[in-house]
This record gives sequence, structure tokens and C-alpha cells, in this order.
Amino acid sequence: MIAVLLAAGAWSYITAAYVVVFGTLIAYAAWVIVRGRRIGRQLPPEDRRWSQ
Amino acid sequence: MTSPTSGPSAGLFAVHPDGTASHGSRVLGSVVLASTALFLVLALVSSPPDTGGADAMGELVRIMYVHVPVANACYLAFFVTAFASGMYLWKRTEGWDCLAAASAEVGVVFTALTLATGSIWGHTTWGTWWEWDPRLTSTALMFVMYLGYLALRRAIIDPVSRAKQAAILGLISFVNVPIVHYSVEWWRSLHQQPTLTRADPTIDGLKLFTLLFGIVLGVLVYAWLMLHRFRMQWAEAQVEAKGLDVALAERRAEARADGGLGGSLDAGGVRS
Repeated sequence: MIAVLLAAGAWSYITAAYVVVFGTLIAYAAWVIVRGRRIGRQLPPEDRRWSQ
Repeated sequence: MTSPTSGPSAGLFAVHPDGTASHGSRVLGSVVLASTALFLVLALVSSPPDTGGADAMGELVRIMYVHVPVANACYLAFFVTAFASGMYLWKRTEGWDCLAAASAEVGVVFTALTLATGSIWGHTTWGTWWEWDPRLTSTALMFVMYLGYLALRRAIIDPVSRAKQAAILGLISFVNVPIVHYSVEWWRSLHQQPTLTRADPTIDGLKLFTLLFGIVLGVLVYAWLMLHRFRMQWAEAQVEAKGLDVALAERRAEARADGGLGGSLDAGGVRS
């Protein structure tokens, strides 16, 4: 019983760590993409070398 | 008729016409997504709990599979920042400055994740969220130094002066990175010794494979983020340069108009 409770406690920390890592990376990636599109609109296509 | 999202890059790899994506970044992004799914299965399901020895971590070993890769990615990011800073001081080209700036920001995100996951791990193994231990303290110092690097970039308006001063700070800040890495060997530390770089790794089998796979995934995520963040930095620099050109042209037009109406302005602003 104690082992189960300890394992359950461990899993809450594990879940927190994975949610923090993947949640932060997804949020940061979304911010980079959205901001990149917003700035890209201000540039003529010939200045966006990667899209050619 | 073709649209920006048709032709060779249509379908799964369709690219937004205004964005920072390219066909290559879409392919890399797909590899990252597939690898992430495999990594989650390995790290949370397939890999067994740590049961070897008196200081075995049990299920908590799974936190290591994300903690070590994000720490490794922040080392890589700051190495790229230092390298690009050195190259900027040598070549004085805008691309190196953009690379240094982009990598520093991505590195700060990975450092924040290193501190957060380390804190979660510390709370359950040491019973405290934070300890002024050499590894933790030097990592926090590294985080603050690179936040300072990003703040410096925002504080200086002149692009050339900003790039030069940021490059110098980017090189100075990197001195702390080896200190962070070797702090557990140089000083008595609560933090465990290196898991992989020692002669006899403390884990093996599927746990070792999962950790190595996580490190490779961390590098892939860093590469994907850098592709987009570097392009964004480059686009910002172009917009800034165009803005300066427009502002200069406006000032010249104003000066010409003033000269035509009633003489020119001297250095003290007195109309002649």
C-alpha cells in the first residue's frame, strides 16, 4: 500500500515535469511561428530567402 | 494556377506564404513530432523504473529523460551563441549576429526548463524545491546572464553597436557554461555526478537508450526552433533596416522642404 502511494506521488512529479517541458516548448514554438508570420508580412517575398 | 501552398510543397508540408517555415523545416518538424511520440512511449511506458542500488530513483528516473536533454540543449544553444558572437566580431556580418541572438533566446527557454525540471526532481528526492548548491547556483547564474544578454539587445537602438556589445557579452557569458557542467566534480554538491560522461555509466539497457534518444530529440527540437527563430530574427533585422531607411529619407525630405521654404538649418538648429 505504501509502495503504491509512493509511486502515485512520484507520478504526479513526473507528470508535472513532462507537462512543464512539452507545454513550454509548444507555447514557445507557437509564439515563434505566429510572430514570424506577423513580421514576414512586412517583408517583400524576395527578402524571405527561405521561401524561395 | 498555383498558390503559395500548392505545387511541390502542398499537402502535409504546405508552407504558410508569410511565415518562417520552409519545406525543409516542415520535414524536420515532422521528424521531431514522430520522434516525440516514440520518446513519450519509451520514457513513460516501456522504460523500467530504476531499481539498482541503494540510491535507486524508482519511477522518478523518468524525470531524468527530460531534464538531461533540456540541459544538454541549453549547453548547445549557448555554444552556438558564443561561436556566432566570435564570428560576428571577426566577419561583422548581420547573419552571425542574428544566429547568436536567436540561439541565446532558445537557450534561455531550455535553461528555464532545466531549472524547472531540476526543481521538481529536487523536491521529491531532496525534499526542497531549491538549494544553494554549486550546480543549481551556477545554472541560475547562467540563466540570469543570458537574460541580461537578451535585455542588452533590447536596450541598444543602434544595430551595429548592439551587435558588437552583444557579441562581447555572448563570449563572456559562455565562460560560465563549463563551470556549470563541471561544478558537480569541482565542488561538493547535492546534485548527482554525471550519468553518461563517466567511464562506467550508471544506467544501462533501455534506460540508457531512452536517455540517449531524449538527448538526440532535444538537439532536433533545438534545430527546429532555431530554423524558425533565426529566420524571424533575420526578418526583424530587415524590417528594422527598412524602417531606418524610411526614417532617414523622411528626415532628408523634411530638411529639403525646410531649405526650400526659408533656408537650411545649421548645426545648432538656427535657420540661416
